[in-house]
Order: sequence, then C-alpha cells, then structure tokens
Amino acid sequence: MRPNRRKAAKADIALLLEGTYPFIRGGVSAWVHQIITGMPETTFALIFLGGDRSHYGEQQYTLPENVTHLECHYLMDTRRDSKPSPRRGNACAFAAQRSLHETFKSGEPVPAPVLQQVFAELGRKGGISREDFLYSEESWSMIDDSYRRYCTEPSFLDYFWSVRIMHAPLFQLAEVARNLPRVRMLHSISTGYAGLLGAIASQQRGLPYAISEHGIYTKERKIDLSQAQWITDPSDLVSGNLNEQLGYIRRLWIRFFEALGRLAYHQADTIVSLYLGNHERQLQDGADKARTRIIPNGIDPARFDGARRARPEAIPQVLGLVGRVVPIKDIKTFIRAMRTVCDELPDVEGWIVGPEDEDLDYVRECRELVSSLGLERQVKFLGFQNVNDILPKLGLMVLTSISEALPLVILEAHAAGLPCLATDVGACRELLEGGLEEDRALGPSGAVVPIADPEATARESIRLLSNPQQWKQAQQAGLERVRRYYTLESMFADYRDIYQQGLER
Amino acid sequence: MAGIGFELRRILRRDSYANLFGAYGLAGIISSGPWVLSVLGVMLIGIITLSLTPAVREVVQFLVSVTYLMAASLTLSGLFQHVFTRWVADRLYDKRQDLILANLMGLIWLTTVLALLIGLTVLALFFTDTSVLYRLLMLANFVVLCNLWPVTLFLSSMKSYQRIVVVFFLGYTTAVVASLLLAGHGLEGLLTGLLLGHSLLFFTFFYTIIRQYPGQGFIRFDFTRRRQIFPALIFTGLLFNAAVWADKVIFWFHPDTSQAIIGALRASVIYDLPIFLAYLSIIPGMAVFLVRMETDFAEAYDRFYNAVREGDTLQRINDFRDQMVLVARNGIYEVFKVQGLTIIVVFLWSEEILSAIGISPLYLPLFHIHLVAVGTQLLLLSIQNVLFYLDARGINVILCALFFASNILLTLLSIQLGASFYGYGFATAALISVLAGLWMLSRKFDRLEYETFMLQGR
Amino acid sequence: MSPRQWVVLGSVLALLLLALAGVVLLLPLASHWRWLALALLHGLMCLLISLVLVKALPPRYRGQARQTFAFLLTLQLAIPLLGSLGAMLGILLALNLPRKASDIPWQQVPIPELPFQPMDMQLQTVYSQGGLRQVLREAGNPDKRLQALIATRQMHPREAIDILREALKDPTDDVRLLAYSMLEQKEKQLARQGGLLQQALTRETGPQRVQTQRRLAQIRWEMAYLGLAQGGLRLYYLNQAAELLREILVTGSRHSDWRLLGRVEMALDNNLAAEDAFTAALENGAVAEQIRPYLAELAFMRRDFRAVQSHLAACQPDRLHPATRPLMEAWL
Repeated sequence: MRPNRRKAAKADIALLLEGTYPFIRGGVSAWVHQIITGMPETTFALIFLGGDRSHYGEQQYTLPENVTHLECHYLMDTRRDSKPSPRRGNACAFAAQRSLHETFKSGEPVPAPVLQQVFAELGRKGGISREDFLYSEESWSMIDDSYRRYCTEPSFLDYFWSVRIMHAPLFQLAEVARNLPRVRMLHSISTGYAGLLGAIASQQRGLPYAISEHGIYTKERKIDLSQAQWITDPSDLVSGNLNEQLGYIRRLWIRFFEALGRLAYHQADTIVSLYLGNHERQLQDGADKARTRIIPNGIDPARFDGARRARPEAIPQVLGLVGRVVPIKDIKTFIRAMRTVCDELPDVEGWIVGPEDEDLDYVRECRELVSSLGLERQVKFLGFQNVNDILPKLGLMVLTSISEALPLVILEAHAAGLPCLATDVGACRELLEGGLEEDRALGPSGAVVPIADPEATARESIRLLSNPQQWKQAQQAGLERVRRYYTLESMFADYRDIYQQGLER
Repeated sequence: MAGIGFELRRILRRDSYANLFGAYGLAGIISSGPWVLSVLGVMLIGIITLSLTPAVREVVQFLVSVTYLMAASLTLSGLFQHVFTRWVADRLYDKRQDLILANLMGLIWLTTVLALLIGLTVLALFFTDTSVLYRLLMLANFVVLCNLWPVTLFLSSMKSYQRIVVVFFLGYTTAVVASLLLAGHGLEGLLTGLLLGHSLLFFTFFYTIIRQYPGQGFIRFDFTRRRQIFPALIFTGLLFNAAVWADKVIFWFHPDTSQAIIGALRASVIYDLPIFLAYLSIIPGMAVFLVRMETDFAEAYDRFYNAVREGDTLQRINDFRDQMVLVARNGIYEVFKVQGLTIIVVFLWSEEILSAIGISPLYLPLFHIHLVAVGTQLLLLSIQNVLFYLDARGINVILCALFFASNILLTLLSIQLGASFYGYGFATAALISVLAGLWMLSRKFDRLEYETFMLQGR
Repeated sequence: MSPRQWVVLGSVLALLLLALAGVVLLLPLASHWRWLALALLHGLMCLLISLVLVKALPPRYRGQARQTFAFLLTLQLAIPLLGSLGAMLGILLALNLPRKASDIPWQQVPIPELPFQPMDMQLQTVYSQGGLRQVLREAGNPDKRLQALIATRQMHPREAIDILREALKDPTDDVRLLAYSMLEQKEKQLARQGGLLQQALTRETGPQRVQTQRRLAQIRWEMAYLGLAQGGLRLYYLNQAAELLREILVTGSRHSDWRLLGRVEMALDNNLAAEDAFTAALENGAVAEQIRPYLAELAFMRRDFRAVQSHLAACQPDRLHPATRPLMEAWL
C-alpha cells in the first residue's frame, strides 16, 4: 500500500453496518470483530446504521486498535422533522425519480446516468431535499399519480404514509454518504439500507465496493413484511373465496427492499455469500454471477482446545441453545421440545444462553411458555455467557432457528467437541452432514430436523443424548470437519484478496 | 349535543315550502337574534323614553354611550373570539371536556381584568366632566358587555342557539322595562336599567354554562399556553372587529361629520342612523348563511375529512372535495342572491321605511349605499367562515388586515371627496375584501388535498 | 364550618353591610365622603362574598383557592351589587343543585355509505381448498406455493394449520419461513390469551375464578384441537384442560363443561372417561343431538354397533349438524 495515499484517508475500509456490530451481539457481529482483529494491517472506519436510537444500548465490543473511526446514524429518528412549509419542488429532479421508479417496476437494470443523477440530487438543495420530498407540490403530484396508476388498495392515507415512511430514511442516507470520512474502499455487511449507502457512496466517489451477506436481507424482510401486524390488509369479507392476494402496501414494501437490494448488487464489485444456497439466491435477486464469490465462515480451532479438554467423560445431560433470544431463533420450539424430552428423560435440562435485551416482548413470551409448560425447573435462561466456559457443560448444542446463514456457534461447538442438532436452514445441513463428497464421508456431526418441529427435535435430542456411541462418532466428525474446511486462515486469505484488489484498483 | 344543524336538517327533510320557510325563519331568528334584539332593545329604550320625557339630550347621550360600549366591548372581546373558540374545539377533539369550564372562567377573569384596567384609564382620562355615577355605570356596563360576548359565543359554538335567543329576549325585556321605570333618574337611570338587563343576561349564561359543562377545578389558564393556541386567530378577531368599526369611528371623530355628545364621546348623526338601520336588513342573508353553513357545508366538510382520516380512496377524497367546493359556492351564491333580493326590496320601500321611523329622506342615498355595504360585509363573513372551517388562519388574517386598512383609507378618502361619497369608503373596502377573499378561497380549495396531506402539522 | 354554615354567615354579614350602605345614603354626608364610605363597604362586601363562595364550592372545584378568590373578587368589584348577586346565585345554584341527565337520550345517525371500491376479482387467482393443497405439493415455482400459503389466511384455522404444517417441510426456504411465521402468529394469539388467564387465576377467587378456569380450559383445548400443539406438548395441554375442567365440575355441574371434558378425554384416548363425561353432560341437560354423535363414535370404537344405532336414533335429524346427517342416514 502506498503510504502517501494512506495518509490522506481516514481509513482503508469503511464497514457499513446495519443494526449489528458494535452494538448488538450475535453471529454477524462476532464475524465483523473477527475480520477486524484478523487484519491488523488494515484500518477500518465503522458506519453504523440503526432504526430507533432507543433500541441500542451500550457498545458491546471494545473496538480494536485498527478501527480509526465510528459514526452512528438512526434512520427512524423523527425528531429531525422540520416545520412544513409549502414549496414547488424541482420538476426535473422528480422527473428523474419517475423514470427510476419506472425501471424498478419493469425489473430492468437501472441505466447508469439515471442512477448517477438520482444519487447526486438526493438530499441536495438543487435536487430533492428531504423537505422537498415531504412538502413539495411536485412530490405530491408524484404520489397522487402513482396512487392512481398502481395502488389497488383503497386507503389513500395508508399509501401516503407508507410512501413517506419508506423514503424518508433515504435522504438521511444520502447525507451520510456525502459526509462519509475519506476511505479507500467500502464494504457493507448486508444489502438493505447499508447496501444502499454503499451504492450511493461508491457511485458518488468512485470507490470500490464489496458486499458480504450472511443471511439474505431481502428475503428476511419479505418474510417480516408478509406477516407484519402494523400493515393492515383490506379485508374481503363478502366473497368467501380463497385468494392469494397480499395487500398492495405489503407488496410495496417488499418491492422497495427488493429495489434496494438490486441497486446495491448493481453497484458492488464483489458480492460475497457464505454458502451455495445463498449464492444462488443472490443470482436470482439480480447479482451478476461474475462478481459473486462464496467465502464460508471460519474459526480458529485452537481457541477451543481448552474447552474440549475441560469436557467431562460422561455426556452432560444438558441441551444448550446458544443465541440471542429473538423470534428468528425460534426459542419457543426449543422450549416445546424440552417438554417432550423431559417426559422421557426427566433429568435433562435445557439452557438458553444468549443476550435477552433485544426483543423484550419475545423474552417475556418465552418465559411465559416455560411456566405454562411447567418447565421452570428444567429450562434455564442464563443470559450472555463466555462460550468457552459453557460449551464443556453441554451435552448437545441445539439450534432451532427458522433462518440462519452459516452459524458460527455450530463451528465453535464442533471445535469444542460438541455435536449439534440444527434445523434445516441455511448452511446447517452442509455443516452437519457435509457438503462435498469427501466432506460427507466424514459422517454426520449431529442431526438435522425440520424447522418448528418440537417432536422431531425432541426425538433426535433423546437419540443423541442417550446413545454414547453415536454421540462420540458425531463429536469426531465435527472436529475433523471444522479443521479441514472452516478455518479462519482460509477466510482471512479470501478477504485479504478482496481488499487487496479494491485498494489497488 | 343536538346542534341546530340537526334541528334544521330535520325540518328541511320534510320537504315542503312551509317547512322550508320554517327552517329559514328559525335560522333567521337564531342567527341574528342576539344582535337584532340588542339593537331593537336599545332603540326601543331610546324611542319610548323620547316619547315620555322631553330630555332629548339625555336620550341621545344614552344611545351614543351604549353604541360606544358595544363597539369597544366587541373589539376587546374580539381578541379572544376565535382563538378561544378554536381552543375549545381542539379540547373537544382531544376529549378533554373537563378542562373547558375552568378555562372559560379563566377567560372571564382575564377579560374582566382587561376591561377594568382599560375602562378605568379611559374614564379617568376623558370623562372628568361627567358624574361619578355615570362613570361607574359605564364601567360596570363595559365589564358586563365584555364578558357577555365571549359567553354568548361559547354557547353558540356549543350550538345552544335556542337558549341564547330566549335568554336574550328575557334580558332585553328586563332592560327595557327597568330603563323605563328608572327613566325618571335621567341618563344614569337608563344606564342602570341596561346594566340590570345585561347583568341578568351574563349571569344567566354563566349559570347555564357552569351547570352544563362541569369539570375539574374552577379556574385555569391552559388557553394562554403558546403551544395550544394560534396567534393568527387573535389578530383575526381583533382586526375584524376593528375593521367593522373603523369607518364609524372615523366619522365620529372627523370634525366635519361629528359633534360632541358626552365626555369625550362624539357621534355622527348623519352616518350612524342609516347604517344601524341597514344592519337590520341582513337578517335574511344571515338566515341563509346559517342554514347553508350548519347543514350542507358542515356535512360536506365532515365527509371530506372523514374520508381523509379513515383512509378512503383518493378518487373519493377528490369527489368529496369537489362536493364541498360546490356546497360552499352555492352557499355563498345563495347568500348573495337572497341578500341582493332583500336589498332591492328595501331599496324600493326605503323612502317609506325612513319616513315611518321619522328619519329625514335626506339620509336616503347614504342608507342605500349602506345597504349594499353591509350586504357585502355579510358575504365577507360567509367567506371567512368557510376559511375558518378549512383552518386557513393566515388567509383570514390577511383578509381582515386588508379590510381594516382599506376601510380606514377609503373612508378618509370618501370624507375628503364630500358628502355625496359618504358610505362609499366602507362599501368599497368590503367589496375589495370580498373579491380578495373569493380569490384566496378558490386557491385554497384548489390546493386542499396537497395542503391537507403534505403540509399537515403546519 | 360546613359550606352551608359559611353561606348563612356570609348572607347575614352581607345584609348587615347593605344596611350600613343604606345608612350611609341617608346620612347627610359630603359627596366625596359618601362615595368613600360606599366604596369601602363595597370592597368589604366583595371580600366577604368571595371568601364565602370559595368555601362553599363543591370539593372538586376548590383546587386553586387563591386564583378562584381573585377571580370572584375582580368580577364583583367591577360590577357593584349585581356582580355579587349574580356570582352568588349563579355559582352556588349551578354547582349545588342536582343536575338532570343529558336531555338528548338518542341521536340520529345517517346511514353510512358503502365504502371503497370493489375488489377486482379478475386480477386474482381463486383457489378451492383441495386445489390449494395440490398447488403446495405440486407447483414447481416457489412463488406459486408462497401465494397459495397466503391464501390460507382466509381458511378455517384448523384446516389452515394443517396445510401450514405441511408447508414447513417445503424444500424452499421462503415457503418454510412464511409458513412458520403464519403459524407462529396464530399460536401467539392463543398463547397470549392463555398467559393472561393463567395470571388472572393466581389472584381470583369464587365464581370469577371458575369462569377464568373454564376459559383457560377452552384455550388449552383449542391449542390441541387446532393442531397448533403436537405430540408431548399436545398431551400436556389436553391434560391441563382435563384437569381444569374436573376442578370446575367439582363446584358445579354444567353440561357444556362435561361435554368439553368428554372431547378432551376422547382426544386423550381415555374412552371410558369420555363416555362417563358425555353421559354426565346428557344428565345435566345437554341436547341429545350435541352429545349422542360422540357417544355413537365411542360405541363404534369399542365395536358396539347396536349402541351406535341406538345413539343415532335418539337424535332428531333436522337438529343434527349437517356434517353428521349423512352418517345418521347410513346407520339407520
């Protein structure tokens, strides 16, 4: 790296983080921390994007030396709203917006000049400022027009507010992009708002841009939105037919996030996924195959040697779920499975190990479920714990998530000599049964069950816990699999390569 | 609360001409009842006393004093007129009815203190040559009147029209009877009679309100909180009343057109008599105005905002807007037609009317132009009312300021131009304001959806 | 002193002051002395009456005594005599006389218009229930399967849950996730109600407790009946429901409780207990048509076909649930 360029920039890489590191603990955050600590020769600037300020508490990680900058922005902050005042709005800029939306609807790639103009004008005085969007006549006529042409749902009020709430954060993003510190490359850890920020900044400054996706943001949003209670659907109580109709407002939101994803994919130079399944999904969502790569997560097996040695001879009769207590982890299925397990093996305990500060309602619901199932004695909430301390005390790692990418906890458990039971999501099957032919030959390192199936989860848990021979085999397969295919070194090498390419461009 | 709108609609639904007249008749009485009664009451006192005693001077002093009392108290209470009504409406919307009574008490106190201070100052400075009793009576009358207008307004914004008319009738009957009984004591006797009547009115309303709108606490001043009020409404109230009286005040104090009556009070006989007569002519217009505003327009307005609030389609929101525009246009047009017709009829009979009351036919041209002027002022009132519904506070202030300024300038100009132009100043000012108001209203309607949605919370 | 005593005392003093004023008017005083004396008396009177009024206000208006006092004083000072009279009568009468109820017992409400535009059915694919299952199993395109899932929102919960469970095994992630979150939502609702009732149970006693227990039992039954709970969990919920019902039935027999107990026992495969419960329901006055079909089913399961026939024969065909009518016709 040339020292003269480096002096001018605040950092080599700007990491664009949406709702994760360094404020929320979890798989993605752990991964980010690994990347930063693993590449001490590279400097990082962290750009954190959050929803509502009140949802994020204390910083959860001590930032390593090579983090030179941290800034936080909250997209759902409404305090910034100015007093409404009438204005005309820039007709030309709104015309560009219209054509952008047309291309979104047609599903074609957005022509570069349109994109350039839109991004350049967003949040600017001469273009479309936030106030222009909120209060101008041009903006009104565009909303009016779009409603008449496309909206199939009756309530104009709902449509109006959806459009407002949906677009308001974009102006803030444009501002963030303009005020970004000088960096030499952008790297966002998801699509969505962070992805859009990357696209805008990369477009405006001509910076190389990489995306790493752990889950698939667009997909997760889509599931959320199909069910979200805050969107009301028009009810059709008269016809009595079964129809597939998903409310227009829901579809509008889904399309919005799809468009965000597509914009980020178009702009990115490298698009990384963790495993084959997600890789295909990215292609389907509009990523260019030539720019995609698969880089699985890795861990340092040596870190878990201690935990492995601390393991007692007998299998501890404890099922452990290590993860944040949030709906996507489906803690409830774990609790329900515990009911059946305890009917069969009354001495088995279930430990839920993970921070409980993210979704308080859900935590409450889980605790209520425990008491309504009469499991207060067997199921314990331990909060956040050091993995190395907890892993030797578990007899089986259970992961009931309804969506995962490539969960680090499985790799960690394997390295610590602990077999796993996981739902059939993300890369779990690959991790537990093997991906390639020779990998499969190692044998299963645990069991895979369907999601939301307490019966199957209980059955497989009982099988592994009460069958020392199968348990031992799984332990060995897990150890071997991690050592061969999922080490940190190979992951760092791949990312060094990506950064190198970007920085030297 | 069963509003008058409800009553009128029920009568109108029966669909016959007799009912139609019934409805308009009722509306005529309740819309113009209070002030017709007060004008008639005061005039009646004057005319009857005049026929009983030879003390013409004292009767004229009485009439002029009362006119000043009315003008000053209306202008002073105009300060709070709209701002307080709006505050009450907002609290009703918040479902905080319990705050209203205590704040009305707060308003009465504020008004009383203001009226007392102003009254004392003016009486001490400009009325040194009048008797102590006269000054005391003027002060008491002023305070009572300043308080009477807000409570009347409050009850009428609560749609208790019938009650207002009945109580006004009782109050002025008392005033007339008491004044006549006390007429032997001269000017002071007449003023005492009037004070009795007005006090009865005020305290009856006071009683009614305390009884009907109970709440927590006795006195509060929430309505003075900056965050809960709109200053533009204070200016609107003040400017409108000031504008209405501006031409009269100018005529009272212009040396060419006036003479001293009592203390610092002056009057302009040639200007005053015709204009107060002319004001009686707007009863039919007021009736139409009330029926249209309270029934059709209020309905169309509710439909529009319900459609907005409850998430109707844009198509229907537009339709309701169009309907509302149509109703407003028809309403204003109807006021125009009815008032126009009334003016023509009164024109035809004007000579007979004046001579019947015993006023010289010399006043005829002035009476004619005043008829047109007050009719135009009524149109302005209708337009402003629609604008209040639409929450166009800024436009209303501009309109009132325009009316105020043009009335002063043009009235002064008309006095310069000579006696044959008297009255044209006021009429032209009203006309200019009406035209400006129509233009601004139409623009407001054009941008209604844009402003409703995009500029909410302004 | 009570408010009433205050008023009496105040009135006496006020009359005294009035009399004094009369004396002042009658005395041959110089004009300015007379005015001064009158002003003094007026001031005293205003102070007195304001004080009495503040004391005589109903309790909830007594909050800001000082401001209220100032208000009353100003009003009376500005309007001599009449102000005092008006304030006294107006305030005391209005606040202390009993109020009659609102004089508008009813209000006319206009007929609401039919809302909104009609749905455009041509734009939508319409499914039949069997077709829906078919689409979920056979359609190659995951989007089609997703849409079919969304259509289950309009189905009866029991059938919808069945289909959603099946969709949990779908090869595509999205379909599984959507099915999961739809199931989750349905369950959340019931679980929430159950949780609230369970909490209520810890503090309630008497007849209210029985009512809560009954509702909780119904919710537990619903969890199992709808298929939201399965396996060990289902058994757990059913057992809880049975326990709750038995507890209620100790305090009093209601045929609907017996009937629910019968169904719970049947679901638990305790056929003998179920039979007893249904019989008890009949004895406690349940309609034959509601109970006999279950008894017939139980009889069928123990191969007592004669009893099946006799149970069904005891039902009146026209009062039977339409779904069981063909069954009856086949047996009789």
